[in-house]
Amino acid sequence: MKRLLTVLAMTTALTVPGLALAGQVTLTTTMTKYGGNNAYVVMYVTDAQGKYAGTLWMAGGRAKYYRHLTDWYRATGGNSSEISGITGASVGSGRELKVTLDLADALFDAGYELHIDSAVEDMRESPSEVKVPLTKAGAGKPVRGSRYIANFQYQM
Amino acid sequence: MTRKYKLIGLTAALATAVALPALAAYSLTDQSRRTGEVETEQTSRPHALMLADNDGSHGQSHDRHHSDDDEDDDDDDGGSARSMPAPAPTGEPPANGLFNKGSSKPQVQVN
Repeated sequence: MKRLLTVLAMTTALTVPGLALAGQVTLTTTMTKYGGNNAYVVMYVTDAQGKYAGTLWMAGGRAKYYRHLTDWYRATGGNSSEISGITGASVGSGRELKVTLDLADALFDAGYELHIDSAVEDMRESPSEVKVPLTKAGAGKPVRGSRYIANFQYQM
Repeated sequence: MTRKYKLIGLTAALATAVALPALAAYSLTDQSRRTGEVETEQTSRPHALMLADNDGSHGQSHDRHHSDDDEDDDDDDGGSARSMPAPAPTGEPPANGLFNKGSSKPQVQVN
């Protein structure tokens, strides 16, 4: 009985941390030195048919600026329930934003794409500035942005 | 002798008549000068405050209010949060199927 308990304790100790880490994905976005005010950045996912599936992170807290994140806004109508609990501050020029999320495994290698829209006050909007397929093989590989985002990568 | 005293009296009266208004005028000028100093101090204070108000993120935040013409103004991410780290998320992620059920709060870091 004692031996059984010892084995149980050992397997639990080994597997529980692994389970806790499963699905932890870190999204790292590095901004260019564009020199303007803080950028609003939204990360969202479309499915294999290109339909909006959901938002992963919204950097920027003022709802009135969300319409400048044009692709995301078109898909969601700026619905605040889409970003409840996943909203933080906007990101400054040259800064790096790291967000760690507990994502479903089903998102990877199933045709889903991660999009990033960005916008800066008094500067041009940049919809789908980053568009990257979510695959396990693509983890850790940086993707370049086209305007405000220098590069983006996700790590699993 | 009497005439001499009369002359002295007249001179003194004349001198007083000339000197008193002059003294009174000086006194008024002096007072108004002091008042002027106080006024200068009073007007200079708001000026200093205006400068203080214009020199920083408060002003920028004001600009942002004016640069946008519509909608809600109450959801503030701090305006001056430009150089501040992102605040911790307040709730759980939405149940949109992208997050694992019962997933922990997102962790955010801005470097």
